Amino acid sequence: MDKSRRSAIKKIALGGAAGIAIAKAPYVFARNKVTLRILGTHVTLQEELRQKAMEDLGIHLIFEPKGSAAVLQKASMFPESFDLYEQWSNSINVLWRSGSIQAIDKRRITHWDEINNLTKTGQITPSAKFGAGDAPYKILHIQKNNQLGEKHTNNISFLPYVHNVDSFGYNTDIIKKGIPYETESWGWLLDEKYHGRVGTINAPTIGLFDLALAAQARNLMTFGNIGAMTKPELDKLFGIIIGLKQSGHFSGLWSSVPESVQFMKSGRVVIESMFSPAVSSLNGMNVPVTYAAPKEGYRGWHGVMCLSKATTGKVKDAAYDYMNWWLSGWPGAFIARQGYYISNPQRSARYLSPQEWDYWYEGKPAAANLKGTDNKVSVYKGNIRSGGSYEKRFSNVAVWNTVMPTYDYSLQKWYEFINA
Amino acid sequence: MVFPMFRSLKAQLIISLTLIIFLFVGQQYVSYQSQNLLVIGLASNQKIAEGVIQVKVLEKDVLNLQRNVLIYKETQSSSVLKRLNDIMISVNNKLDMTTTLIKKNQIGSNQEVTIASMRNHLKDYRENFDSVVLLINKKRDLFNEKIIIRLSHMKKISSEVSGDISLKQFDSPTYKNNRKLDALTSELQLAAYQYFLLPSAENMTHFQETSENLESVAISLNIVELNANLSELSADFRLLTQVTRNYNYLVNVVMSGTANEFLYLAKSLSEVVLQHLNSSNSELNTIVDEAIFRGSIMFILGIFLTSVITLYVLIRLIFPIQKVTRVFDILASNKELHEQLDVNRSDEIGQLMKSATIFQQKNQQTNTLLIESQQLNQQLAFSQQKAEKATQTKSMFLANMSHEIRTPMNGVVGMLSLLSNTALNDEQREYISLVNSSSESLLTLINSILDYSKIESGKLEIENIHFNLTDVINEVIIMMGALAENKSLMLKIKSIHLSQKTVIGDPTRLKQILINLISNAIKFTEKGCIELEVRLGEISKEKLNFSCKVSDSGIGLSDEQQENIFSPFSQADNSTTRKYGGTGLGLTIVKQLCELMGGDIKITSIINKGSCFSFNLIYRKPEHDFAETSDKSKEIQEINLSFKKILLVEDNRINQIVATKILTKLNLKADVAVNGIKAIEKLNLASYDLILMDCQMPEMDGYETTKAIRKGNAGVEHQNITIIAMTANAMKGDKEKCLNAGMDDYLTKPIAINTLHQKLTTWM
Repeated sequence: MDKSRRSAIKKIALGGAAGIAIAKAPYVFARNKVTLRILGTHVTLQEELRQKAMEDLGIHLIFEPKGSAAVLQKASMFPESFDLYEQWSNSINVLWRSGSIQAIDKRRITHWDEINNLTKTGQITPSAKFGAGDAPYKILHIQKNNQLGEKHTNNISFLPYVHNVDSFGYNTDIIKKGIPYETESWGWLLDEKYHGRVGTINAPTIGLFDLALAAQARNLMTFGNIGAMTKPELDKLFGIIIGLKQSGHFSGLWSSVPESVQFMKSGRVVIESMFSPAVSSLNGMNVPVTYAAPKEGYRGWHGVMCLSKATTGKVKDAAYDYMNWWLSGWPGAFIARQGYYISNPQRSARYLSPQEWDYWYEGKPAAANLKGTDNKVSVYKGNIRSGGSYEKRFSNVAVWNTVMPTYDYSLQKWYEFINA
Repeated sequence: MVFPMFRSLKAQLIISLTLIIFLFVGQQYVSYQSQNLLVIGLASNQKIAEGVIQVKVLEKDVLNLQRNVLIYKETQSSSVLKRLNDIMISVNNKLDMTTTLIKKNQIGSNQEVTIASMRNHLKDYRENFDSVVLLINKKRDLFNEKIIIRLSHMKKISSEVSGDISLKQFDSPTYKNNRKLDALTSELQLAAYQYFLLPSAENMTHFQETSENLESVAISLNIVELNANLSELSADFRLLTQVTRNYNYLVNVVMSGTANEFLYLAKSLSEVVLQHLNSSNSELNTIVDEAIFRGSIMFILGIFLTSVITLYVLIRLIFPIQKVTRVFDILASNKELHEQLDVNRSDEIGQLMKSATIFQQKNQQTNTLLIESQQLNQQLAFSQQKAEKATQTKSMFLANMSHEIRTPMNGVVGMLSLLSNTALNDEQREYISLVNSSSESLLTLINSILDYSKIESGKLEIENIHFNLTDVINEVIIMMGALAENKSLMLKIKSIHLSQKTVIGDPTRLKQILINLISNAIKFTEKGCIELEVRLGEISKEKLNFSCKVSDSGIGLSDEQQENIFSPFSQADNSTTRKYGGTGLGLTIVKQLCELMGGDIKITSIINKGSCFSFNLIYRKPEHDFAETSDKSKEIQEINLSFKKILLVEDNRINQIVATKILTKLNLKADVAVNGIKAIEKLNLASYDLILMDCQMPEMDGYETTKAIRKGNAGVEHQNITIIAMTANAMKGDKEKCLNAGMDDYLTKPIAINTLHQKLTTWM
């Protein structure tokens, strides 16, 4: 795609009136419309984004949202079945090794320079923790030996875009509200008090860390490197959690965000590892769920957008257009209203009101009622985002979602855990 | 108070029964409702229970799914695939049914969410399983068709290289490397199988390390074909590990998680449904309890109402009826009633009470009437007694009177009779004749009065003797003919038709009737004739009807006179009495005689033309119609009685003289005894042939004297002496009394000379 067209798109995207004009002339491009197939999860494959992207880019988009496991499985085996893949950084190692994706030329990423240091150096601020496990900066660049590493090259395995920190949510009707970073602790997940009403995510690369952090917080065990647990450590950890599971401590393991909402809403759980949209959703339903800022630090995750090995030509161009579109500001602002962060926040700030920016990124109290992407008020005036500002949250990442070397073993143990 | 329309017992009973019927209907309704509720509850319970089973089976199905997935993982059998498909379809069907159940029973919206989740999980499970199938195939293909083949190819190359006999320097580095290459290739082959069998990280690392070692050896040997193969093998192995990991991830994490979540949801669903079943059960129990409670309430209400109604009926109906019954019993047995009756009730009982009161009053009235009528009866009886006594007295008086009158009359008649036989001048003779006529009239009057009084007092007896009718009629004709001739009238029998000559009846009374009628006819006829029409006919084998008409051409009677002619002491009119005389008793006696003899008498008369008295009598028919020779047919024989000695027992001086004179006339001598004692004295002193005995005498009457004679008090020779009674007692029964006392015959005073003569002739 030539630069003039890209700039034209940019202009259109910025100007509402022009946007209407192009919206009125879809047939002009219809014949040459490129269809882009995107395989991913519900987090980013949202209908509003698809519509907006199609409108902005003049391409046809097919979203295929799936569960994270299915997405990975399909992508790693059938690169021909997708053009772009959107998932989490913990899947990159597997996916890259499977050879299903090709390198992304970061020179074709328009706003690469605007991307902050989280993925570049690993530290959002100089004092920030790096976080254990597969920190995104460690697996972004494709090294010369075709392995993924820290050293910057022109080729990257994924486009850094959406990311966030996860923790657990708890129902303040049952559990007394704690103090962020002070009393709120992963250890609560294993607290006897909540026996039978604890939930966690059914994903070893995610849930395992929540449980490991919890076990560590309760001084049940320590890890040499929590991001690369050894087999004995796994044995011990699973020994603890399988015992708890057998005693009925865990009510369930959820596989999707709506499921985690249902867990909490139905009262089946009072505390569970959660994703941020689930918390917003529950608050919208007047379920008083607080998203904890654990004193041990968050479990971080980073979205990855990968290019299929099988994608070439115009479709590949369209794929780069779509990647650039994501960093063009509007999408970042859109997902900011859902609690996610974008790798180049400053560009999205233009699409956010100062109040929104202050609330979502600066961790300040909401100066006004803030609407979500569904146009309903999701944040009431005076609310403060748990965990504080973007920088504060990302300075407190304890561990990143990771595929550890003992991953295959952990799958075995996880199976035992699920069926315990 | 009770409404007027409900006052009657009928209405009250109907209301009571209606209440009971309503009660029954109510009870039936309640039990029907309860049963309905129970049936509905049971049916719904059954459905829920079935649902619970469905959901429970769901749990089992999910476990079955997992089991079959494991079996497939091991065997890759297509039959397992089919079974898995079947199970999934069955699970889906059960979910459909469960959804229907939940919606129908409104088990809760949460459960629909649960079922939706279960459906999603099942869908995911299905998809993931499809992936697993693909992965297994891919894994197998990758291993069998690529890795094994490549490894075999490499082994062949390495074997060739190590077995190269051109390089016979065993200790040369090339040879050593060749040997190492072959060994490493073999090791790599082994490592590949090890990983395939146990895809652990260690086995993977082992393969990769061996591969790297082989690579480093191979590069130095520079066997191009081997190197190329090795590089492709590494890629294939990476893919195999990827596929294996994905496969494990899917099976161990995703599918296992889905299955567990599904299981959890199924369990919670079954719990909820079970809870619903329990609550439905407890609802059912509640319904049953309520039904029992309602039933009990209805039962108690029923018992209560029935008791109340029974009590009401007892108090309002049975007791009052008993009371009324008792009252009527008392009234019926005519006892005195002490109970107070409630007559103020407006129902039937009240009416009964009123009736009882009325009955009681009537009873009292009846009693009063009874007492009064008894008193009246007593009075009546007393009066009757008095009347009877009076009549008796009258009869006695009359009887005595007639006797007392007859006795002097005997004297008068007797003396006149004696006087008329003396030498008298014409003037004297005329006077005597007049006196005679008067005395005879007086005697007739006395006889009539005697008859009348006899009839009235019922003492006149009608004789039943066998007699000749013709004789009686002839006798009367002869007797009356003389009288008629005196008035130059003709007395004739106009016709006489007799079916037979004799009858059984009273000839004397017939004679009396005929004489009476004929003498009346003669009396009231100045010229012309008196005619008799006589007829005797059979009524039956035993009875005969005698009818007779006595017609005259006399003065006749007016209609008014005809009406009264048979009444006592009445004549045609007063002037008649003055002109013709008579007692006015004659026709009354005739009528009464006729009636006594079973007949009657009628009169037809035209004034100044004449009268016709027709009467009839009923006679008994005799067995043989033999005409007795009448006494009259006997000629009085002139027998010399002079030597016969007669004793006359008579206390009355005149009667002694009359009797003595009559006997003297008959040339008979008689001793006189003044009473029975003197008579017996005389009989004992002298011998007599005949005694004429007066009945009523002082000291010893005729009857006693006769009895004494018959006893032999007057001597044996006089024991059977003929005794003829002479009595003034003309009353009925006198003759019998005399005969009973032992007398042989009977004469009525005043004694007629002829009659005496006849008797004497007969008995001497």
